[in-house]
Amino acid sequence: MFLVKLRRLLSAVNLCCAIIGAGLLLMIAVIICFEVTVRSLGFASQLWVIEVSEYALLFITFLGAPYLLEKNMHVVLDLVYDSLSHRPRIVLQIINATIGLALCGILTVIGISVVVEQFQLGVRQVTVMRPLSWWITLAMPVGMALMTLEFLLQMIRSFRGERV
Amino acid sequence: DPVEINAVTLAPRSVYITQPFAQFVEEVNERFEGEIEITWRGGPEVMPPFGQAEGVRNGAMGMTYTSPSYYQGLVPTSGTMNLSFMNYAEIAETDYHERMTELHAEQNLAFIGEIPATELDFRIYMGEEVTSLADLEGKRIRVFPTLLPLVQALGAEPIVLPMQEIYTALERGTIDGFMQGPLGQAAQFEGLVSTVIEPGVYRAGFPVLMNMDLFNEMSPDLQERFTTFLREDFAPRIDDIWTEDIATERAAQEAAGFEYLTLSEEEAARYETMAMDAAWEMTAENAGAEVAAELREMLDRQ
Amino acid sequence: MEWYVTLAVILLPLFVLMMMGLPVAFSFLAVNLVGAYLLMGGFAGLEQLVLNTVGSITSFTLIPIALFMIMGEAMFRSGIAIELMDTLDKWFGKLRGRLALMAVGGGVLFSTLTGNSMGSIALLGSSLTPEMEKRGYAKSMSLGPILGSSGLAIMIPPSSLAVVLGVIGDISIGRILIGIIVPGLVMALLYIAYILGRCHLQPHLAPSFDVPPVTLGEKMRATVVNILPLSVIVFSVVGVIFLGIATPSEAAATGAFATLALAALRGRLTGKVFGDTMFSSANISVMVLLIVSGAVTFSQLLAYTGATYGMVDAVLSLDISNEAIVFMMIMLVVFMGMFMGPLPIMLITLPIFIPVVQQFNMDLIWFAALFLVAIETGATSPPFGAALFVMKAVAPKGTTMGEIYRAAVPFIILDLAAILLIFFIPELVTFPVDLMFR
Ligand code: NA
Ligand code: NA
Repeated sequence: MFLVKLRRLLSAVNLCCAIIGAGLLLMIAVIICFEVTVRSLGFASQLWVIEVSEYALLFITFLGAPYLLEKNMHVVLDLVYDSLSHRPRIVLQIINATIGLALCGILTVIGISVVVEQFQLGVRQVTVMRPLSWWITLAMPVGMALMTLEFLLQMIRSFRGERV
Repeated sequence: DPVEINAVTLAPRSVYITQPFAQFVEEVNERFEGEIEITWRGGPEVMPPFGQAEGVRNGAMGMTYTSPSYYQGLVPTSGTMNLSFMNYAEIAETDYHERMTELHAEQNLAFIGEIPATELDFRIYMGEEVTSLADLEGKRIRVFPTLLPLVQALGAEPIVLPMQEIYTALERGTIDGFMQGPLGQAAQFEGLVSTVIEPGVYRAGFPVLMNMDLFNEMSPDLQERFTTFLREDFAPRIDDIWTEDIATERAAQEAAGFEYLTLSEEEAARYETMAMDAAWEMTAENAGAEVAAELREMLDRQ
Repeated sequence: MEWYVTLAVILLPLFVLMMMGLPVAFSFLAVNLVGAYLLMGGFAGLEQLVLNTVGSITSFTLIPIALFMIMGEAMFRSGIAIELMDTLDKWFGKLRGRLALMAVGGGVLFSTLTGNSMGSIALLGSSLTPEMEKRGYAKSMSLGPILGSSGLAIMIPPSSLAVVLGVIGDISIGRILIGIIVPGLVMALLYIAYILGRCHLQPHLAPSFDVPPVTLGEKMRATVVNILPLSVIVFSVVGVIFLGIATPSEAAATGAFATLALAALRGRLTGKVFGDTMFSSANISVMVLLIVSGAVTFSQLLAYTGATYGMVDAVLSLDISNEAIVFMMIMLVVFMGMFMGPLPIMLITLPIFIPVVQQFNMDLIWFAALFLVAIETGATSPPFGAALFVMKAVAPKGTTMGEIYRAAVPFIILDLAAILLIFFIPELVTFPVDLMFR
């Protein structure tokens, strides 16, 4: 029961993040077109455009990755995996989910610790806008935390013998 | 056992800018045999240049030879290493390096010293002919963030672009010029640059930073001998090694059709002042007015 | 440890994880995590991994990939790509392999506007492949030509990698840009010859189309309606760079905008089409960027171990003729391309190779052209060539990695043939350069 609720909540959050990601991608296209237009009309270059696009790209990546994981859309080398029968495949599913869980879990924790450290030291990006770095690094632990939960659910399903 | 140091640099091995560091590593490993052992792991292919100081601070790397402007986000005063028209010997007479040691220590970084290259200043390269500083007004000049205030002060329009785009942007007229060091430009930009503005501004010096815990593994005596070696023996010897390369490059640039616009003494002085004022103003904004004033006092021509 | 042992110790787990079905991006990340922990001082190494991963994605050079994805998806979802092919069928329906040839043509065309082969795959893969399959094209004739011709992006100016090469190697960027054009065209010609030949021998790979009796007027009308407006898109990318209105990266944004605008003008940009375009182009960008960042960080790890330098030294210390050493350098670049990105390979090899080539008194521009062909050959080479993963991300659902590998192989062989041609006929590079820079 709890798992069903968690699944629904997580799916909603994942979708929401992915939609924000798509919105950010649109924003990148818009602000770069804006910069090109403004410049070609003879006005000054908007120095923030490149930077903001770069940061947006990072957020698109980590906000969108959990949704793709849920939908099994990440690129997989299917050479061996797809030709396996049910049982070995379930075994591999369990192993992969465990690796993924550990990986994303560790990176969530480390990511948070980097964010905290950058926050405390007041580290800034060496760019025109000089934003505080922790705002940017934050993208990674957020995405990793969601993916940790996603791998956890995959693991549970795999133990129940379901194909994910 | 020797203190083992993994080092990383702002540019790859065999590139001219890392040659002095190669020599530094060699001399240190020989002179401090059994006490210090530096292993040079590589450049940006090992660790992204803008993350190297942070990597040294957190201990993933033991040492970096980097650009002062690459870690202003961590040590806001680091960029001041560029802000002088004095050479290394003159700066070394002030308390500048001692003060930098303290400022780095506040962010848990050990500032061993700088490997100076005073002659590697920054120059303005323009695609079209310009005949005076006034011609720069409204021109689009590609800069990295440190040089932004100067370009703004010149009335030009700074534009920030990835390095890969400079060539096409200049060729197609998206930008009118760029600001870079004196070396390597003739070969890369032949046929595109028509005017170089002389004199250049600022100076170069490449800080050698160490992880604090690793530095503290050295005995105080060794720490002392190590920093003294860099600051009083190695650095003064290396400061003026670039004269010949710059002369060769200058000839190559002229052969490639770069015209030199030499400012009059008066213009040059105004340009220098403008460059320093703009940069120090930004330093004051980012690092605090007080420390900026204190450091400027040491670095301004006496 | 010997370099090959280190290399094996690092590559083997990566290969095993991928084979086990762990997504490619997470396989890279897993190896990176363990490697960073063991090599870079435990916890500090992991912190650095976070910083490096974040740093590798916040890069303006990756932005065109995402923006070209919007272009490709918009062309596909709004039906612009379908109409383009319908029109081509009206004219050339009887020509076998016409769509494969169009992919090469598209590759050449778009190579003039992008300097990044991943952008090309993103654009052509997402706009062309679904419809090619519908028209009965075998994977080898739909995916292959796109993979092959994507590499032309770095061979025909503007080329961001050529500029990087000039900067790292301290070589004239202008000369490199002129020098790579003919090799790029040679490659395109090889691809075309291959497609025509293979379609002749195995007609089922690329079905022809019984052209119904269409009047010339009808053909002209279709051309005016369906193909001419595309010139607006082409202008919005190539034209703006040429006129100095936008830089190559920015041009990807104006191109995306023009494509959406064209779809809207034709009344095809419904809310659903627009939403689907944005959502799926964001999704594919995520897949690609995550892999790219994993691969970049993986390269950093390899460089840290010194294995890559060991490899380079091993090649240089071979007791063979100078020509053979240069050839081995180029082959090494192809090999490294199978598991590393172009930029790290350049940073590692060029500072060492360029002085050697100079010392051998060989032409640097010629070497640069060979180097770039080698880079793009490696990028499409199994098992880990990044272009292949990008193709997997954009190809129609159900496309297997095996099919992509098989589609890539003939074009890799053609690329190697191109390398041999350039190697033995340096005039392909030097003649145009001498002509331009007398
Ligand atoms: Na190719
Ligand atoms: Na190109």
